[in-house]
This record gives sequence, structure tokens and C-alpha cells, in this order.
Amino acid sequence: MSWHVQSDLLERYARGEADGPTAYSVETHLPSCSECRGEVAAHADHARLTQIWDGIEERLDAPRRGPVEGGLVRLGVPEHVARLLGATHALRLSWLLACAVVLAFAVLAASRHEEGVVMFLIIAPLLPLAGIAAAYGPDVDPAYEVGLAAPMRSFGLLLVRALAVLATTTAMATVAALALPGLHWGAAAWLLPSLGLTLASLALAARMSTTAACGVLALAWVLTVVTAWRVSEDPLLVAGPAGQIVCGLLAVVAALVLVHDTDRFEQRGGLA
Amino acid sequence: MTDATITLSGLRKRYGATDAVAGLSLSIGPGVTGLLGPNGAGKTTLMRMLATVLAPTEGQLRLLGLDPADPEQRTDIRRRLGYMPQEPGLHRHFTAFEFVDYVAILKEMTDTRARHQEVRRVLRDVGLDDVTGRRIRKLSGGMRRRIALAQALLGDPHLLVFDEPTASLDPEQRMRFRELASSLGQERIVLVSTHQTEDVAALCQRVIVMRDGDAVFDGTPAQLCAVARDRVWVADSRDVRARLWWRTAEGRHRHVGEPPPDAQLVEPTIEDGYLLLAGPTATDERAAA
Repeated sequence: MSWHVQSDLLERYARGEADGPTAYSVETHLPSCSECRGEVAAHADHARLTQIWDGIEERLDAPRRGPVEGGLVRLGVPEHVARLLGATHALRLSWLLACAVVLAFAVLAASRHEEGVVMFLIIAPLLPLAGIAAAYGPDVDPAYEVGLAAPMRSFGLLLVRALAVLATTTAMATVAALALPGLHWGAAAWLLPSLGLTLASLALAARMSTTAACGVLALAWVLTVVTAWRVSEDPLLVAGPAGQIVCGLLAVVAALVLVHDTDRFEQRGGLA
Repeated sequence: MTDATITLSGLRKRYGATDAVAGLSLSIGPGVTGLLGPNGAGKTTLMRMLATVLAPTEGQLRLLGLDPADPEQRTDIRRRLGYMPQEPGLHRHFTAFEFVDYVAILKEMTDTRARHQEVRRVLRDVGLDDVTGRRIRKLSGGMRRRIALAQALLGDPHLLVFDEPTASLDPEQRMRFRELASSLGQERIVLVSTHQTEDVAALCQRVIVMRDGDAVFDGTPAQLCAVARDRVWVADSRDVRARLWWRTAEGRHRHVGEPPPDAQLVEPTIEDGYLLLAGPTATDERAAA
């Protein structure tokens, strides 16, 4: 190499102050000239280099978000919350697809038979319960024990996941309800039971495992609807005003218990 | 000023009529402390209590000077705790980076850039920087173990609880773990539960041997080795008077127990001492410890 870049130009390049064509010219020369590379290194601002390298690493190594996580971020959910939700089985595509299939069968049953709408009213509130049962707990979260030893409150994690599950299942059930034959107000009668059962499952989770809480409530819900139907001979009794008031009251009481028992959940939190 | 000790006083964990940990009293300071014991000795139960994920039935426990029974103090402990469970479940659909990033969020690291830097650091420390983008389900058992180890290192914790960290690691990875744990133990409390007596010999300043929920030995690895001094001998055939024996690679028989007068005594190892204290015929040995 018979020539070298002038020192003041190398210094400006190292500081990031050289214009585009000049910087390009220097960069073309540097790979073949160890002397100039050494001089650039002497002028380099190490803090700036570290920052640039961190930026490159960040771009290269930052994980690509999965479809659910990516969708949540696009909806405005903070990136770290989306990652917490990405670890939720009940928000994975396979689970959501299963929910869609169940709802499709419920709609099909309603279209074939007059009393089939009861099937839809029973099933729609069960979906968030099933989702919450699969969202948090030692049996369903492989990293449960690792999570317990972390400072984030367990109840906060359960709540975030439960809200996400409720939101997704509500959206899916709403779309399914619009496909019910002879659309009328009764098609929305699953909303209050859904909310009441979700809140009740969270309130019960302070006293038993999330899976057990959801199981108990699911059983109680099915028995209540079927018994009310058999006793009154009105298949849509639960969808009527009395049923809706009871479900609304359940939601309010469960919400109050939930607020009161937050610490109890944390106290109980841990392995048996 | 942080109290850099762990104190157990009459610590007990009962399952039905069985004491998994039976009134243990100990004090543990900075350095690497090894926990040895057979299956069912209560090691994992103890580690879980020290990691604040399992509440004791009785007794007092102070971790870094704080009481884990108090929710606020428990959260403070968890902010300074790194825990690798015996069976660390991983979200297998995540990549190595995503999983460690997920745990970092649980550890309250919400600034994305700083968190990602920390995730890269711990993955580098366990030698996984070249597989960060690979799905966990496609990684080997040893790599998964190292992911579990990496998440425990997040946030440079003061108290590190590793439950069988070297299981399924190859010799090179085990050596790397020993280096890492040893350097961490210079200023932090590092607790390592293991079945590997070689790990204890190479790594720990202190070793506690557990049996039936209680500590039957508490001392240095050299002291554990000394338990078997003059009680290990080799012979060409099996000596039925020995408490334990096994055939060596050279075809001779190594015996542990009370040697006969003409026995050819050999230098004991930590494993010999451990077997005398906690091996299958060690019931009577407690008093000797």
C-alpha cells in the first residue's frame, strides 16, 4: 500500500463526522491497510462503538415475534406484556382454533334444532373458563416453578392472562353469536355468565388451584342451566331477566372477593 | 446493609406423616455450599424452601436477612434470587432467547434494550450464544439445562439456588459450570444440590450431607473425605464383612466399612465418606458423624 488516509480525515471518520462519499472512500481503503486501521482504532470512541454494536446485536438477535405476540403488539399491547401472553397455552393458535371449532359446532346445533341455542349459551361461557384453567398453574405452565421464584406477583400474571383469554374468547363468541339463526337479544345472553364465571374463577383461585376452580365452576354452570331448564321447562331461563340478574350479581360479588383476596392469593401461591 | 446469610432454625416440611425436612438448623454465608444426599433425603424440598416457592411447616427461615413468610419481604428476596429447579420446565415453542427474555420480564426487567442485553449476557455465560434463535424443542437435554441455568443468572442475584445443575451436562459443560459457580461464589451465596461427589470436591468450600430430612454431615470436602480414612480397602475378592463394596475397572474389589486387620487400605475419596454417611447401609453411621 503506497498511500494512507490523512490523519485529520481518519479522525473525523472515527468520530462519525465524515460525509457519505468520504466515509465510503475510507471504508474501501481500510480493509487493505493495517496502518490506517490502527490509526482509526486509536481515534475510535469506544462508548459510541459499544452503542453501535449493541444496536446491531439488538437487530440481529431480537427474537421474531410469533403470530399471537406480533398481533398483540400491533394492537398496542406493550411488548413485555405480549411476551408474557405468548407463553399462555390458551392464547396459542392451536387453542384458538379448537375454540373456533367448538363454537362452530354450537352454532350448527342451534341451526338444526330450536333448543340448540341452549347448547351455545352453555358453551360460550365455558370457553374463558377452559382458557383460564390452561393459562396458569403447576399443571399447565411448564415454567411455573421458575415463575414463582421471580418477583412478579403471581396474581398479576394470572390476571393479565385471564383478561387476554376473556377478550379473545369473547370476540370469538360474539362472531359466532352473529351467525346464530333468528338473531335476537338472547344471542348476547352468554356475556354476563361469561364475565361472572371468569371473575368467580379468579376469586376461587385464591383458595384452590386455578384448574380446580375452573372445573368446579364449569360443572356448576352446566348443572345449573340444565336443572333450570328441566324444572321450568324453559330452555332459555338462564338467558331471561332472572338468570341475567343472578349472573350479574355473581360477577359483582366475585369482583369484590377478588379485590379483597389479592393478598390471600399471594400467600397461597407456592408449591404444595 | 444486606445481610448476606441464610439462617434456618428448626426448619421442617411435613407431608402427611412424613418429614421431608426434619427440623434443620443451619447458617450459610457467601461461597459455594454443596448439598449431597440420596433420593428422598429432602434436598429438593429444602432447595424449594430456600427458593421461596415452598412454605415450611414449622421453624424459622431468614434469607438475606429477610423473612420469606412476609409477602413484601418475599418479593425483595426474589429480586435478589436466582433459582434453577430440579426439573426446570421450559416453554418448548419459545426460542432460547425468548424463554430467557420471558423470565427476565417476570424478574421485572421491562426496559426492552437493557433486558435483551442482559439476556444475551447470561446466554453467553452458559455458552449458548450461538443457539439463541433456535426453538427449545430442537435443543439437546444439556442445552436445555443450560437455558435453565442462564435464566437463574439474570439480574446478577446475590443468592443462587441450583438444584442438580450438572445433571445431563457433558464433562466439558460440567467444567464450565464449575468455573461459573466458583466465580459467582466469591461474593454471593451459591447453593448446589447434586448427586455428583466430584462436583462437590471440585467446587464447594462447604458440603452438607442430608439423609432422611436431616443434616448428617456439615463440613469441608476434605473433612467429608476424612470420614472414610482407614475405612476403605481393596482386595482381590469380595469381603462380606464390608458395609459396601463394588468391583473396580481393574477387576479388584473396593470395600468401605470396618477393615479386617490385614486389609490393604487405600486413600479414601469424598464418595467413600458420603457412602458411609448416607449410603444404603448408613443408618448406624449418624452417631459417628
